Amino acid sequence: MRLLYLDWPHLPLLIERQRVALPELVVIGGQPWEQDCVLDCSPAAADLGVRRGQPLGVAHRLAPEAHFLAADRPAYEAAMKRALDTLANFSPSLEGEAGCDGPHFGRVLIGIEGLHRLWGDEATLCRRALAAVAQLLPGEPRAGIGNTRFGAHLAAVVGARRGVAPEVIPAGEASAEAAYLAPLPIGLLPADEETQQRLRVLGFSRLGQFAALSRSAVVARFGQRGGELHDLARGLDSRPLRLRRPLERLRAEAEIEPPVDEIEPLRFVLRHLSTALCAQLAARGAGAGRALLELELDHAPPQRLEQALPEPTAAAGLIERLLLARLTAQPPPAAVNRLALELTGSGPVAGQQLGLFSPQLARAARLDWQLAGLAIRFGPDRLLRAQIADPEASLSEQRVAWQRVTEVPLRPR
Amino acid sequence: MPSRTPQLASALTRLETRWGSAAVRLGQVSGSLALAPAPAMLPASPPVDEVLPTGFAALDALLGSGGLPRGVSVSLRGGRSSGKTALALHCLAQAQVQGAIGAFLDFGGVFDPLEAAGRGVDLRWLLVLRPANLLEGFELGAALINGRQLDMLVVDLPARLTARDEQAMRRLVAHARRQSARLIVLEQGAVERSAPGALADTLGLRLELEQRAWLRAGRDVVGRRVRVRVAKNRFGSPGREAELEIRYLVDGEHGPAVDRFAGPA
Repeated sequence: MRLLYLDWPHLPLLIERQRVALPELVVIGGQPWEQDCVLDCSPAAADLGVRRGQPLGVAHRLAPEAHFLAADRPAYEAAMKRALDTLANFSPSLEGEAGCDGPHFGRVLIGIEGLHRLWGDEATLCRRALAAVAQLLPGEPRAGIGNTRFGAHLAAVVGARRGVAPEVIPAGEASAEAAYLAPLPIGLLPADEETQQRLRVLGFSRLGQFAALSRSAVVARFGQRGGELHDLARGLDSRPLRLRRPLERLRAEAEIEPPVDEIEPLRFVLRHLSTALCAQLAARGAGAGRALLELELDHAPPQRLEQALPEPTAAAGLIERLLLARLTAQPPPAAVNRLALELTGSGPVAGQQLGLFSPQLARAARLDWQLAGLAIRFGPDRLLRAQIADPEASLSEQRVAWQRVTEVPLRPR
Repeated sequence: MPSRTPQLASALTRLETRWGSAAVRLGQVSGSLALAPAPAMLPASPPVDEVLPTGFAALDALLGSGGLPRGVSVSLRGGRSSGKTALALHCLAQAQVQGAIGAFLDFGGVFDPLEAAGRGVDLRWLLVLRPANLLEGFELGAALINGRQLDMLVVDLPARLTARDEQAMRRLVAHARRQSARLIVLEQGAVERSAPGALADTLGLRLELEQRAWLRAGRDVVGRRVRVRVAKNRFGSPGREAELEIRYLVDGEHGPAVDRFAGPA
C-alpha cells in the first residue's frame, strides 16, 4: 500500500497568523483565567514548556508574556473540512480529522496506490494535491510518501528537514522501508519517555540498530508495546486507514398516478420507500438520523417535511409511523403526484441499552419514539423535562431549565 | 349465614365494582344495620411485588394491601396545602426506585422540579406534560399510557371540571386500568364538603387529606400534620384514618437530593 502523508503542524496558529500579525510567543485556547485548555501554541511557547491540552493557567505560568488568543474552532474546522473535501477528489482512501480538538488535527493520509494513470506518478499527484489545497490552508505542509503509515510520516519529517516535498520512500517490500528508516534517529519512534530513555541507555541511537534485534528479545524486555515498536522499525505497520466517510444520503421517490389527496394511499407508498432505503442502510450496519419527505403537489407548491429521528435507525416501520404522524398533523393542501423520501445523518445503529442500574433505560428508546410521535401530534411544547440548572439562583426561573423531550431524549447518547 | 348463590355473588361484585366496596353491607341480624363491610366479598390482596409503598409506613398499614396496588387509580382529595402533591411525589419517587417511568400532568403549570427532586423524584425519568387545555391533557395522558412505557401518571386536576372533562377523565382512568398503570389524581376541594368528586365511582382507592396542625421546631414551622382518611378502598377496609407528618424541605435538605440532578445531564 502506498500512502501520502500531509501534515500542517500548528494549523490553528497558521490560520490566526494569516488573519493578523502576531508576536512570536502565542498561545491559542483562551485567556489565562478561563477554564479551558491550550489548543495550539507557537514553537517559541513550546520551547518554554507550553503543551497542547495544558490548562491555560499553567500555560500562563510557563509563558506569562505570551499573547493569549481565543480559539476560533468553527473557522479551523471549516478550513480543514474544505481541505479534506478537496483531497477526497484525488482518492477515496482518505483519513483525516476535521475536529480541531482531536489529536490528529492537521494531518491527512491518502491511499495513492494505483492512481498513476489518473493523476500521474506519485510526486506529480502530491504536487497536484498540494496545489489544490494551497488556497484553503495556510503554510507549506510536510509531505511524505511511504509503504506504511509510520514510514510515510517519517518521510514527511525527513523531507521537511531537507526541504523536500514530497520525500519518497521507494516502493517495495518491508525491507525497502526498513532500509530507509535504518539511519534515522531512534527518537523518532512513537515511544513514551521511559522507553526512549531505556533505549538510549542500552546504546541504541538509530532505528536500524533496534530493528536488527530479534523480536522475541525485544518483547521479553519491553513487552507487547516494545514488539509493536520493533515492527515499525522493520517497516511493518499493519494499522489500517480509518477512512473518512462522508454523510450518506439515501433517496428514493415514486410517481403517484393518478394524484391522491388522502393519507392512506400515501402511507402505502411511504412504506415502500422507507423499506427500500432502510434495507440499504441495514446492509451497511447504519441507521438514519433524519428523514426528509418531499411532496410534489398538483397545482400547488411542493411541500417539504423534515423530521429528526430520536436515534439512528434502520427500522422502516418506525420511520414510516413518524412521517405518517407528520402527514396527519400537516396534511398536504392538494393532491400529491410524487413522493420522495431522503434519509440523511447516517451513523451506526443505536444498540439496545440494558438497564443494569437504571431499569428505565431498557424502555427509554421506545418511549423516545412514542414521545416524538406525541410531540408531532400535540406540539413539542407540551412534553417537557426539567433539569435543575442552579438551585441557588436568586430568580426562581433560573433554578430550573425546561427542555423539550424531542431535543433531549430520555435515552442518553 | 346462608350460602350465597352465584347470581347473588355476581350481583354483589357488580355493585361493588360500580359503587365501591363500602356500598354493600351485610346485616348480621335481621332488621339491624351492619357496620362493617362483608369481609368475604373483598377481592384478594394483590401480590406483594405489585404493591407500591407510599413512603409513609402508617399509610401503607392503613391501606391493607401494604401500599398502592398496580393498575389501581388513586384519588388524593383535599384542600390547599393538605399534602396531596407531597404524598404523590413520595409515591412517584418510590415507583422510580422500582424502575418506573413517571409523568406529571400539570394543568396549572405549578409543578416545582426542585420540590420534586427534594422529595426523591428522579427528574431524568419524569415527563412533565403541560397541555393547552383539559381535554388535550387527558388525550395526551391516555396516549402515553396506551404506549405501555409509562408506569405512573400523576394528574393535578383543577378545582372545577365540566361534564365533558369528567367524561374524558373517566376514559383516562379506564385506560390506566387496562394497561395496569398507576394513576394518582390530585383533586382540589375541602374534605368537609359532601361533594364526592368527579371520580368517586371510577377510582379504586380514595384518600381524603386534611391538615390538622403545624409542626414546629422552636418558632419555625417545619411541616404539617395531615390526617388521611381512606374514603374508598377496593383492597381493604374503608373508613380508617391515620396521621402523617409531612415536613417542608429546608435548604439543607434540598441539597443532597438536588445535587444528583444539578449540572448537565
